[in-house]
Amino acid sequence: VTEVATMIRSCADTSEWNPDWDDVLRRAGQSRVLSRRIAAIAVVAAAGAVLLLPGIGVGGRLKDLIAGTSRPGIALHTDLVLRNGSRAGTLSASLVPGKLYWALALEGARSARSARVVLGYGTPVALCAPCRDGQRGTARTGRRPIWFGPRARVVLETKFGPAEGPLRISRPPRRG
Amino acid sequence: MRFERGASLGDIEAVYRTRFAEFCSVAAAILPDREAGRDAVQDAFAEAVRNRRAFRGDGSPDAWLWRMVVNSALDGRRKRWTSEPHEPEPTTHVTDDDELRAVIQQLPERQRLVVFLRYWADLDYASIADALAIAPGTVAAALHAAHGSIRNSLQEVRT
Repeated sequence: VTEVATMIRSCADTSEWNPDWDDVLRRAGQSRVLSRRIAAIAVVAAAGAVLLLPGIGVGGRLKDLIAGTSRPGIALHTDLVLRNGSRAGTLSASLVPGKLYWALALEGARSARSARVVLGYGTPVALCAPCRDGQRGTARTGRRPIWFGPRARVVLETKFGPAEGPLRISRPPRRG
Repeated sequence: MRFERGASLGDIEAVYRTRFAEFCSVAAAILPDREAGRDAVQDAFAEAVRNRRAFRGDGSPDAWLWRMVVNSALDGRRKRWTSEPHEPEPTTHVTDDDELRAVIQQLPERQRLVVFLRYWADLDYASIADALAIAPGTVAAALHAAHGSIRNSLQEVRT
């Protein structure tokens, strides 16, 4: 048996064979080029989904950052109410270290005499004087601590009298 | 090498690159020429790539791939024989190896395949049994019968 086995082994084809894995993939319909293209398309699609789908939310924030419709930082908001209880407008703001980005929306009038943030201590921070509906601006806050404590409020001087509202952290709007 | 359930492309490629010469030698022995043998191996691995998720992981991955190669070569031979008459390649000088190959080619198919897988692919009995979907005892019996036939045939040729 050993002799026969040795003879059989010795007559095996020992010539050179060159493998061609790309040919295997082509025959299987899965060429490397195709696989890479599919992978590239998948990556682009995933990136697009992350950026654009409102449910994921990154796209909206990125767009806001680029377009400047909102700012990074702590989002603050207040409704400005006259003493008679009617609304005079709203102030939306974003607090980052050293700066307050703000936007004013007036109701019932196109302008107001002035707007300021009163902290309950120290000098109030002036926002605008006079002010108009839709006005935006940046106020330097320096090293003032806590801008949105219970005593922090916005005072808007209008022709109907002062309108005030507490400056509070606003809940982020739900997207999608 | 051991695949888990569902073979990965990398696993299959590793076996292909490691044992390509053995796969081709066996396929070329089943088929009438080298090129056809190589073609059968390429087709077999293409099928393995397409069906890699169907590998259940309960047997030897080598045997799974060998089964594909052997089946691909047998399919290739059947197609050739039905489409064109088989004529052996002409040889001008007959060596002992040629004689032995001719004797092996005369063996019944199962014995021939067992001989190829045992001696040219160096598979153990269990892997041959897996590859050919037969019992290990049948492998031993077929190999024993093949040895006897080869020994007798060579004695007849040389006397």
